[in-house]
Amino acid sequence: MARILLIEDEAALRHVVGEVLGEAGHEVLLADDGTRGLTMLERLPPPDVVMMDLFMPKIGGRAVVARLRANPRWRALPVVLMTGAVYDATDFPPAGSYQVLLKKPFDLDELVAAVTSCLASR
Amino acid sequence: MAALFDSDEEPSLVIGAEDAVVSRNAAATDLLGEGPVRPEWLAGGEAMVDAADGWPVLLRGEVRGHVSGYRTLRLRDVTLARCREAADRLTAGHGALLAVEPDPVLAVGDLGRIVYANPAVEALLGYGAGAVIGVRMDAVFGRTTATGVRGFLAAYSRVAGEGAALRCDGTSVPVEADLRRIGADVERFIAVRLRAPGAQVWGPAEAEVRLLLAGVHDHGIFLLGPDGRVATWNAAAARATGYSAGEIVGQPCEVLYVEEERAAGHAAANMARAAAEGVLRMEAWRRSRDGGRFWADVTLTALRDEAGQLRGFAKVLCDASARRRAAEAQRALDAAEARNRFVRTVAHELRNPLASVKAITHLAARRARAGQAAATQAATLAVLVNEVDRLAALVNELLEVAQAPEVSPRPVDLIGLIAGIWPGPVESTAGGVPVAGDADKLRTVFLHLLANARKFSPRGGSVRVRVDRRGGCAEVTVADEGIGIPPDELERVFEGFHRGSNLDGHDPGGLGLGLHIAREIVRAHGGRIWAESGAGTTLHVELPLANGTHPAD
Repeated sequence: MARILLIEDEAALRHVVGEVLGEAGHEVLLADDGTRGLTMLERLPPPDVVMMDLFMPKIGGRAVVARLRANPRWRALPVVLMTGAVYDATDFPPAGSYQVLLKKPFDLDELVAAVTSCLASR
Repeated sequence: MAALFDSDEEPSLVIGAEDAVVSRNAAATDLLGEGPVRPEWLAGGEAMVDAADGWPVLLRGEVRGHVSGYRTLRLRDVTLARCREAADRLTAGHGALLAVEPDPVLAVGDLGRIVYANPAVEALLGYGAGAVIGVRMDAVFGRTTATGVRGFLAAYSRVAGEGAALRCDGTSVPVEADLRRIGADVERFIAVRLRAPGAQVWGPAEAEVRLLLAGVHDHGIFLLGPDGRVATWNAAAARATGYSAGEIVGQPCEVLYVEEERAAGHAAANMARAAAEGVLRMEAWRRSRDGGRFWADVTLTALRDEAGQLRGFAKVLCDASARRRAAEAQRALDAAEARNRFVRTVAHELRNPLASVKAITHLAARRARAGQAAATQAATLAVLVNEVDRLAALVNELLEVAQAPEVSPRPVDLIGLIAGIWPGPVESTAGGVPVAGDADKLRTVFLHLLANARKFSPRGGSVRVRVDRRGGCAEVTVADEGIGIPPDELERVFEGFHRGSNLDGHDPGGLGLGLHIAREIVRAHGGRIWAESGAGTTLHVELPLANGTHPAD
């Protein structure tokens, strides 16, 4: 059982990923964009894993990861990136600043496994 | 590091990673100061730079061995060699004629050095045969500066005046000088004609003209008689077409036209147009001596005497085949890049709903296996239905883009057309607003505009639709009370895949192609579409009224 912050602007995906992780026994906090995700991080006790979409309006995944890695409080937080984009190095955070890359569309098992591997690596 | 310089006499620089200069020897510092290294040198090519004394020099780079990541760049001064090449070229065709020219005539190139001088110059200034080639202009004319030379070459000018010219032995001789710029964009010279003060009037300007024609080495320049027969021919024209002067002088210029243009009488038509308009510029296929084709950039200028009588034509012809090929290759590359970007964006946009559908179906299947209650299934399946609808709409949008917006025009009344797809009132002061167009395509335009307006309207906000005549045009406006469009995005909304920066995390759905599709259709109808934003957004569509409808009726 872990606390997971899920930042995803796609409502349907946020809903279903939240349900799947909930059924797997995790507590899931939902944020619908990067700004709200960062606000929740500031106000709540740190989660165990942050999952986020790469392309979001306003603050995207790349910028959120940069903010996490710049802050000593969140530097060690495992990050799972989710994206449907075709790989383009300029849009991705630097290698090593995130732990798992989940390519959309993904399997539920891949989703749960991504969280599990993050928790195991802590 | 010193070991990397293989000679202290030659200007040498040590180049490290990312082409950075690691060090330079004294000769290089004398020559360049702390100036940067030109990429041409690193590729073994030539580039012109200003030396420390302000005068340009032409340097060729030579990259020597690599020593643990460092290279030595040696620079060779090829200024004089270039001047001599130019001198050979200028002398080749017309040297004999210029040699007997009584006035001293010389030419200065863009390096600020003499690239041609006739024997009269050598006699006046006391230089041995050929020795004046490469001499810098200030060594003859004293106060001249590199900046002055550059300015003179940049804009056409002509200067005449009295002064002194410096002779080879350091003494000076009084002269009157007439300087003018000659040459085309590709290669320019300053032609200088000298004479002793008080001597007879300047000789004919033919010397400069001959210099000009010989010096222009990639533009064929020739004269045609009023009947279109070739009267003169230069070396570049021979190179471009394969015809020698002996073969073509006296022939009608039609021999240079490709078969179909000759049959259509284009040669005579072009001369008639040039005669009427003064000058005719065009690009067209031309035929070379071996029957091959080349893409030519042609300027045909009518020449008239003082009485206005047509004396013939001057024709400047440049082989633009390479330019055309390069432009075509670039267009193909751009198209391929645009296609790739499109496909990447579409793939990305489709994967989001697909990810939801995949996750939901897997979740539903898992719950079904576990025999969970139908109520949870129903909620999840509702999300699924929504996402599948979205995917279908995305695919439809894509197909609309793929359809060519070809128009089969028929009379369409815009008021009736919009009333048929819009449940609200359609405001108008006109009885009917007929345009010639494709009703289905136009319906698509307004469906997208209306759907957009509704999508971005706040709950309870209204959408106003007006159809009116303005001048010879029909104008439709669709105004909403939504969040508006930031001013710098007003044009980009029509580019496709646009997402407003002020959506505040709200996903409007769709590929953002609706307005793009609308614009393509409107353009195909000869109309235009634009957005205006203040309190809310107003989209305007302007279409030409159908033929035969008077603006006032």
